[in-house]
Amino acid sequence: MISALFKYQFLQNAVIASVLASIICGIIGVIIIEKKLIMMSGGIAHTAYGGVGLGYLCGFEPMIGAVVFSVGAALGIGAIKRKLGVQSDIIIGLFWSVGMALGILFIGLMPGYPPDLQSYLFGNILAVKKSDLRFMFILSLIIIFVVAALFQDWQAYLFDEQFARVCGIKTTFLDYLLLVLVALTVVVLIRVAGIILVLALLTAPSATAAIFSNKLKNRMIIAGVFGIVFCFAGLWLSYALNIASGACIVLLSASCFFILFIAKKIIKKDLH
Amino acid sequence: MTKAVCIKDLSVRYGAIEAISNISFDIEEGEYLGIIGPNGGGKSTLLKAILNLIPTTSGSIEIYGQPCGHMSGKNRTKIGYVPQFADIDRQFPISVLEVVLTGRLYKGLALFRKYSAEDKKIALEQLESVGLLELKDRQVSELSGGEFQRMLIARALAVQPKILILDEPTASVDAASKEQIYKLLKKLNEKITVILVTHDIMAVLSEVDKIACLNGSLIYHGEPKLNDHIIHELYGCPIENISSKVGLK
Repeated sequence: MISALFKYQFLQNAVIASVLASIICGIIGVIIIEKKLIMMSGGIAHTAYGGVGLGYLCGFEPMIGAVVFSVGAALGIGAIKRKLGVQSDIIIGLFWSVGMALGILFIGLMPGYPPDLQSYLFGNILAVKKSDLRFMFILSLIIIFVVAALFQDWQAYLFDEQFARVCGIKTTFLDYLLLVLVALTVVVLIRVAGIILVLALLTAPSATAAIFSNKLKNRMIIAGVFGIVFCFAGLWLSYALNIASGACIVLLSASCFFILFIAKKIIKKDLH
Repeated sequence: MTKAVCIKDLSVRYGAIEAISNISFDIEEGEYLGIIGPNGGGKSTLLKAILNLIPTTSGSIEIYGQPCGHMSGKNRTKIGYVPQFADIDRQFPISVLEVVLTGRLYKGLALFRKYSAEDKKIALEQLESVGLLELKDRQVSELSGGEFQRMLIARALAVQPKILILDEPTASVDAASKEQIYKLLKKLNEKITVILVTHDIMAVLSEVDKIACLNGSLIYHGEPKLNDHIIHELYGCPIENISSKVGLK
């Protein structure tokens, strides 16, 4: 595979995309696990499908549509929950299904042959283009900057939102900012893992990192490293066995998490 | 005497339900006030209103002569808040010192902020005052209930407040920690105003200077003495039933 890596541009792109996606997932994944926003991320991810559909229908870049829809969903879910006090999993469920439905509707309205949506649903890391990479790179920089620049605030907000608010930290702003970051992350990951597999990539490396460290910053770094390992191993497997790369990465990371989790339980002898 | 908190005709509604109605009383500087009452009597609502965490329907709350809705910058630091620890994830990956340091964040949003040497000094002093200095590098997941609660008190003190507000600080901690916490509060009260919401009626009567009894409205405010009438208004049963439950003589 190493020689192929130098030979084929698409493999190089896949490797760079894996690294970028892993760094982002490491940071955001750890935060959303602590804030219990995993299902929220699922909702945002699926709403993005509506944007992809609209992009194809109106003839603009589908990824732009995905950004607009997922950021819109993030802010929408946050605002409805805050202003109307509706239970958040109800809103998440509705956004989830409406987003998917809109995507299918928009594609259906398109004249001519429907485009290949498989790569948006299930992801195809081997089809990542140069322009996608540039897009991912910029988003990664934004996410790293926002999390690093406000790290102390994030830590206080994640640990105890109410106290942070009493201290005068702008928790409402952080709330929405986090949702927007989740939305951007999801968009970045759509190319690599696809809408459906985004959740595993956000959860597995971060959950695995939690087994090894109980420091917030270290968890983010370890999760990034695990993400890279899972992605490379998954890529190699998919190349060697000629099977879908996204599915490979997810199955591999989920099984690694379970094995390590159980191993730790056995070592600490607190199996119930 | 200076008034630390001045509550006038305060009402808070959640939709159609009136959680507290028409409450008026003052808290003097240096006072040690216990707020008691049944579940749903509005104790937490009153605290949250004072902390400006929820909107009030009518009436006013002034902290050192300033409306609490307009507290910002310096005035924020007048209140240290110790929330109920049931609301906090005790598995969160953070160390004891890091938690206490969050009490030093009070400037709104700032990019790449770092804790100053003074912030660290203050945080360590507060950890020492609650007796947790040697545990400063522990992760919070390794603390006992009582230690966790004292850490939250240290965090509130790191704000360097003039008023300390605690929501059920002795709920779900063991008897030894409970005693330790009351001792600590008594000592803190020599310098600052302490407001304590609690179910622990017996302790309140022996510890505090004044009590406020809440059951929707203010039933009683004054010396920490309860009589049959107050107990009946609060809990709807005679004092014997309550005292047998809480060990009150």
